[in-house]
Amino acid sequence: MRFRLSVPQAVALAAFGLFLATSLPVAMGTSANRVLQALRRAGESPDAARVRVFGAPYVETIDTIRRTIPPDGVYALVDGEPVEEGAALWVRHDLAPRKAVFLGKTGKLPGVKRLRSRVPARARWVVIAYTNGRPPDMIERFRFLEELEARRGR
Amino acid sequence: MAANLLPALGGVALFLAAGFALTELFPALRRLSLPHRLAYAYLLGVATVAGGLYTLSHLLDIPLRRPAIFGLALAVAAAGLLIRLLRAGGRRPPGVRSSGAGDWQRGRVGGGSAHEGAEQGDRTPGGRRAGLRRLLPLVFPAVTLAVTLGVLADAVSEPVRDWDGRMTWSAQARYLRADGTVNASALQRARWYISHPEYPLLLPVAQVAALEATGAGDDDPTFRALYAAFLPALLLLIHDAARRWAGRAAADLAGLAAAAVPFFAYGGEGGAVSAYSDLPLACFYGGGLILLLRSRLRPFDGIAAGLLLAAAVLTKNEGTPLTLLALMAAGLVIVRAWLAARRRGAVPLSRTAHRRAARLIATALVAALALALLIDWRTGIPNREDENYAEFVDLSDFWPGVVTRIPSVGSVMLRQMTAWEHWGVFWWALPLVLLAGWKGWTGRRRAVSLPLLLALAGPLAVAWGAYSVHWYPEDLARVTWNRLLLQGAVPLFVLLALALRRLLPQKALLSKPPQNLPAGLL
Repeated sequence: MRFRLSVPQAVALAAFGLFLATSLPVAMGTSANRVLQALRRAGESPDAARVRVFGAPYVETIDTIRRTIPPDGVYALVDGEPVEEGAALWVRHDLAPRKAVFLGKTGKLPGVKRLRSRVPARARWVVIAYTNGRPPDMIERFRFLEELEARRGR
Repeated sequence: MAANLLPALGGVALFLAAGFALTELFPALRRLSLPHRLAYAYLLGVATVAGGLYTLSHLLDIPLRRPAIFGLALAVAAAGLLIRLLRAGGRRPPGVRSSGAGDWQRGRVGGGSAHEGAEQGDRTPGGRRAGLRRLLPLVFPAVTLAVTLGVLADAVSEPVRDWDGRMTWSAQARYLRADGTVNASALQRARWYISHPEYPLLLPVAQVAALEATGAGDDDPTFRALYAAFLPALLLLIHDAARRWAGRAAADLAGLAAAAVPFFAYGGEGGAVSAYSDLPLACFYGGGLILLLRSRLRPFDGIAAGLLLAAAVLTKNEGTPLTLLALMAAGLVIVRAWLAARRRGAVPLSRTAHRRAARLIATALVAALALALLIDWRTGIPNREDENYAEFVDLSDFWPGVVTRIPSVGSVMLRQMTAWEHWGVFWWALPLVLLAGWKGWTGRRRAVSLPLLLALAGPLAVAWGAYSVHWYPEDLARVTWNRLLLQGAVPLFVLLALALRRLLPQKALLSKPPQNLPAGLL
């Protein structure tokens, strides 16, 4: 018995074949590339991998903050970017399990009086987060509030 | 990489070993070929070990530390081994075979599939077709293996750097691990800055278990292997179900298509190389659904489906509606059987229908327990940094957005689906295959194609509902649409396999024409 395809069936199979023919080599190539990259990085420590991906200045600053604020410590977090790019989220992830109180974006921070009441007494440090590999700033709370007050002319 | 490989594999092995032993409990799973059984084993391992830790930690305050992790994994494994020993000591019915890689090699995958006998005789013709016939079954395992190695290599060598992974899942895991409990203080006090604190935490608990078990640090990327391992599980689930209902050639092609979709493996925001929970949800939802739709299962197998759907409930918010939908899809099969029996004037419910109903009840009970756990766990958590649809959405809010937003949101969805880097030309080819092969869903296959269509509609309905009421629907569609399609991957690709079955030269690839399939197929 001969198997005959109608035109729509042949077109459908051809389209499916085209998908496999164009995507499978890409999938194989990407996989081979990832395996080769991983082999090239054999023996790389998790810290070295972080430096490679996020940059040395960022990782060194995160490690400094980790040494300064103990794992069960708390801090105040400010997003230093004008638009939402996840800056505060990445820093919060990297500093976890230290707990953060989020104060807002630098340009939209509330008044100093209100900020004072929001920052817990245990939070000695304010961390300002940025994106694109720029390391976060760590400022003592009283200095941060003073500078903010001075900038706002009060 | 070598230094990272052992902890990464150790984390996966923890769940795989427990789950593999557990498959001994379920006749439907222990009869599968080794690769397919491993896929279910991994899912069951994550469901029971991480789900068990979630329960023990919340209800009994048992710390998420090595004694509980190893104790639970060993208890699960011991239960499976005990059953195996009891079975080995008892009488084994003739013809019941143990699983093994040989089944895969011989192409006899899928245990009780009706195609088994059909394909054994399909070995004689020579020429190009015979070559294709011999080649195709080798391509799917080879591609699955290659893609799995690729995503695992990425997982063991790159730190987590995707959006949701860092915002929610991995961040939550760090808080859980530090406090040793799912009731972490960072979640339970409203002042602490946490995104989506009420999101179900099955995967973060699994992450904690893997890191604790291997002694790895929080910065160690090896936990990402947990997420990567869901990719081969997904491909094998699709292959198992498609093989069962559409034959092996269609299953191989559907499996290859799933392996070739760039987003599933290398989608940085939702694929196997990310730390998102959408791929695990796709596996739990799809696995539970497939088990529920199989007919030759015992009521006890419903517990396996229940464990997978319970895991879906504990994996993502969407897991609860999807679980309800899977139960409805299985209920649809029973109702159709009942209506057919009534039309024939037969006894209202046959023995098979009774067994299906018992299985469905067992599944629903297990899933309901998971939902109860989730609700109870959430009562201690003040919600914040979350869309919280339930609080602000009213039924009237869906109108007229559900219609008026179609052009703007639809164009975003189309752009996502036609993005070469996410899907290749998949969404150009799929409608053509479905249109040309839609008859593959008819006849006897309707008993599975209708529930599968219903199951596929679930993630799409969740998406459309959210896009109808969200304040930035286009932005939401841009970051979620691909992931919601991924959540429905198992029903989608099994439907694709059913359509392909109609298009393939049956004589060349299958020895038995589809219309002659035995009645017990479904």
